[in-house]
Amino acid sequence: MKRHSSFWLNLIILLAGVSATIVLYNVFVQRARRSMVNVELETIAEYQIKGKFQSVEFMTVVWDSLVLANGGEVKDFSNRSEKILKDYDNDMVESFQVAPAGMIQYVYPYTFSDEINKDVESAPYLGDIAVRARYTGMNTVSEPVPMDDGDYRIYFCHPIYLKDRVGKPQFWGYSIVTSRASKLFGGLGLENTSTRSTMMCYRMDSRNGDQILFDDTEGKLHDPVRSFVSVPTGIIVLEGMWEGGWITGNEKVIEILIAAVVLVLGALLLMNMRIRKNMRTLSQISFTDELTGLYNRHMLREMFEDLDGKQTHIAMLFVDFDHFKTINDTKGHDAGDEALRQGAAFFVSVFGKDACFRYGGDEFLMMMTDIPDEEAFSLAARLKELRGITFGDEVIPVTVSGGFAAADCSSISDIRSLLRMADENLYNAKEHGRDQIIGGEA
Amino acid sequence: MRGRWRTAFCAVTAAGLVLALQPGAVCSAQEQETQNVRRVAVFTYSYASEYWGYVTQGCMAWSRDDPTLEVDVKSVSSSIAGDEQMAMIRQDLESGRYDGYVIAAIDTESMDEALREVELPVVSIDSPLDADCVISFIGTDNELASAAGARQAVSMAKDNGFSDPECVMIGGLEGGYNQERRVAGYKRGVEEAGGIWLDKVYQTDKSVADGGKAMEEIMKDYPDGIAIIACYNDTLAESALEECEGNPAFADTVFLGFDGNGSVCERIMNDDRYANMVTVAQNPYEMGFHAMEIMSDYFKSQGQGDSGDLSQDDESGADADESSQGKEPGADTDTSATDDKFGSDSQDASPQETGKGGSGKDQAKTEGIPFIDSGYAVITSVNAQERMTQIMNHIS
Repeated sequence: MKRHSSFWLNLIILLAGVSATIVLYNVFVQRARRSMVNVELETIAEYQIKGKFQSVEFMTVVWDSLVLANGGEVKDFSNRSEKILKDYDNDMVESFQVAPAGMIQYVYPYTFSDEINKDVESAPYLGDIAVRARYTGMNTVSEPVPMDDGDYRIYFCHPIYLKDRVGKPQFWGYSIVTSRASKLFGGLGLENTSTRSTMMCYRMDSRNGDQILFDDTEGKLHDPVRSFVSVPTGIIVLEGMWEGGWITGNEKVIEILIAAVVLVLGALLLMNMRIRKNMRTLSQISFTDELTGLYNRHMLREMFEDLDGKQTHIAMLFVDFDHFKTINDTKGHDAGDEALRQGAAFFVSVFGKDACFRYGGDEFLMMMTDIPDEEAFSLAARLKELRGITFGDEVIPVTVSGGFAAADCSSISDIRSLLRMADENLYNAKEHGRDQIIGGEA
Repeated sequence: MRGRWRTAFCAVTAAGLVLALQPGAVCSAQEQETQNVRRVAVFTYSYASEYWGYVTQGCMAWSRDDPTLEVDVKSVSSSIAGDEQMAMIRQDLESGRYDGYVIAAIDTESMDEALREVELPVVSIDSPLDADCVISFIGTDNELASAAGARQAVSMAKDNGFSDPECVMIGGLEGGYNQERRVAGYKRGVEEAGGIWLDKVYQTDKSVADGGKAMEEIMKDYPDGIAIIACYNDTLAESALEECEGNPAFADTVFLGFDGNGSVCERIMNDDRYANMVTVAQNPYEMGFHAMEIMSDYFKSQGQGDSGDLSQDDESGADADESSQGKEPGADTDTSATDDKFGSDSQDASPQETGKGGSGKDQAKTEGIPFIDSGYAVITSVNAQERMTQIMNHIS
C-alpha cells in the first residue's frame, strides 16, 4: 500500500515538474515578447504616428504662409500645390483646399472639384473643427470620416489671419489639407522593427463606436499588448501581438519536445532514486541482523574475505547466553528477543558496532583486530557486567559464557581455525559451569 | 582568487570616479535646463470642442513663455468619453512620463480613484477632484454664474411680453457636478427675477443631435411656446434654437446658453435669429493659463527647497494667486477692462481664490483644496462685441 502511494506521489511530482516547465517556458517567452512588442508600440505611437500628424499639419501652414506673403491673395494654386507636394515629398497629403471667408474656392487635385463653394463651417465633420480653429487660432483635426472605399478621410484645418493696420488679427479663411487613414497609419513602421509583430490601430469613439484605421492581424489578435496615444483627432489605440501568436506553432512543437525530454529525464531520475533506495535497503537486509541491528554472518564472511592475505592479529570472543531457552520457555519469546536486543546493545557499548556480529540464535561473535591480547581480554572480561535485562517492569537475570581466542592470521583458513578455537573455549566455558570466559590466557 | 576580483572591482570603481569628476562630465547649463524641464499632461474633453480649444489655447499660451514647462494636451472623442480619458491617463500614470497633470475629468469618480495613490501634483479644472494630489481647482462658480444668466433671461423674456416667464431646461448628463450647479443656479436666478422655474430638465448627452431631440420634446410638451429654455451649454442652446426655427410659438422664446463661445457671440452679434439668445461666458482660456501657472509655481517652489509635500496645497494655491497678479493671461490683453463693460452681473476674468469649492452637495469634495474662480460674464447682443474682442485678443 505504501509502495503504491509512493508511486502515485512520484508520478504527481513528475507531472507537476513537466507542467511547471511548460508554464515557465510560456511565461518567460511571453513576457519577453510582450515587453518587446510594448516597446515597439510605444515607439510607433510616440514617434511615427505623432510625427505623421505633425507632418500633415505642417502642410496646412504652407498655404497660410503663401496667402500672407501675397497680401491675402491665392496665386497659381494648382501649380504651387503640385510643387509643394513634390518639394516636401509628402505622400500623406490627399488634397489641398483653401477657403477664403469660409467658402472653399481652391482645390488640388482637380478630382476634388466637387468641394468648391462648400461652406466649411456648416460642412459635416468639418464644421465643428473649423469653428474651433477659427476662434482659437489653432490647427484642428477632424475625426476620421468613413469613405465608400472602406478607408477614412481626415481633415486638417488651419485658420488664416491677416493683420489689420493696428496689428490685430483678422480672420481671412481656412487652409485645409485632407489625408487618408491608409496613408497615415498604413504599414506603421513594421518593416523597420526588430520584432516580428502584427498590430492593429483604432480610434476610440465612445459615442459612435471605435474606428479601425489599420489592421494587419487578420483577426487573429489574442490577448494583445495595448498602447494609447493622444493625437489631434482623439485617442488612438495600438494593439499588437507577436506574429503568429505569443507562442508560434513551431515553438509549440519545441515546447512539447522540451516537456517530453523533461518527462523522460524526470522518470529516469525517479527510477534511479528508487533503485538506489532499494539497493540501500537490500544492502542493510543482507548485512544486518534485523532483530539486534548487529552485523550478521554474511557480513562476517565478507570481513573474513577482506582480511584474507593480510597479516592481522585477531582476537575473537564467542558469546552465548546461559540458559537462554529457559527465558524463552518461562518468559516467552518476546522476553527472549528483548534479551538478545539488550545484550547486543551491551556488546556494542563495550566493543563498538563494527566488532559485533550475531552469529546465530543466542550466539554472538566479537572480532577485534590489531589490539593487544590483554586489552582484548579485559574488554571480554566486562561481559560479567551483563547481569540482567529489563522486560516490562521485570528484571530478568541473565549471564553469558564466552570463549576467547587470539592469534596472528594471514588467510581465511587461519581465521577459521581461530574461530573454531574460540568456539571450543565457549564450549568449555559452558561445560565448566557457565557465566565465565575461557581462553583469556591463550 | 577572491582578492583578485576585489582588486578589479576597486580599479573599475576608481576609474569610474575619475571619469565622473572629469570637467567634461559636468552638465552644461543647457543640459541642466533640459533636465529641469517638467512635462505636464493636460486632459480636456472633446478635441473638436470650441470651449476646450480655449482651455488648450490658455495652456499653450503659458507654456510658450515658460521654457521650464512642456505641455501635452490630450483630448477625447466627445464630452462623454470618460473611458477614453481614463484609459489614457492610466497609461500615462503607469509610464511615469509626466511630472504633473491638469485634468478636466469627465468621469470624476473614476478619476478620483485613479489618483488615489498618485503623488504628482494635479490641478483640476472645470470639475473638482477629490484626491490628496490635487493642489488646486480652477473653474467657474457655476451656480453663481448660471443664476446671473437666468436673471438676464427672465428680464429679456419680460421685455418680449411674457409677464410670468416660465423656464424649462435642456440639461447635460444627469448627476454631473456642473449640471447640478447649473440647475440650481438657473432655478435660483429665475425665481429671484420673478420667473417660474418649472423644474423640468430634458437630459441629453450634450451633443447637437440630443439637443435637437430635446427641443422636439419641448415643442410637443409646450405647443404654445415657453418663455425661457435654459441650456446646459451653448451647443445645446444653438441646436435647440435651430430646431424650433420657423415655429411661431417659439419666436419670442429666450434661449439661455452657457460657455460664451466665440462662435455663439458672433451669431448673437450678427444673426437676427439669435436676438433672443443670452449666454453665460466662462473664461476657459484663463482656466488653462492659470492651471499652467499654478503648476509652474509648484515646480519652482519645489526647486527652491520645498519638500514638495502635496499636503502644502494651501501655499501652492496662494502662490498661484499672488503670481497671477503679476502676469495676466495674454500679455496684450486687458481682460479686466473688457469685463468691466459686461455690467453688474459679471465677475472679473482675473482669477480669484475664494477658498471654497463650490456650493451644494459636492462642497465636501473640494474642501481643503484652493478654489480659483476664473470668473464669468453674461453675454447678450449688447456686450457680445467686447467678448469677441477678448477672444480674438488671445489669438497669437
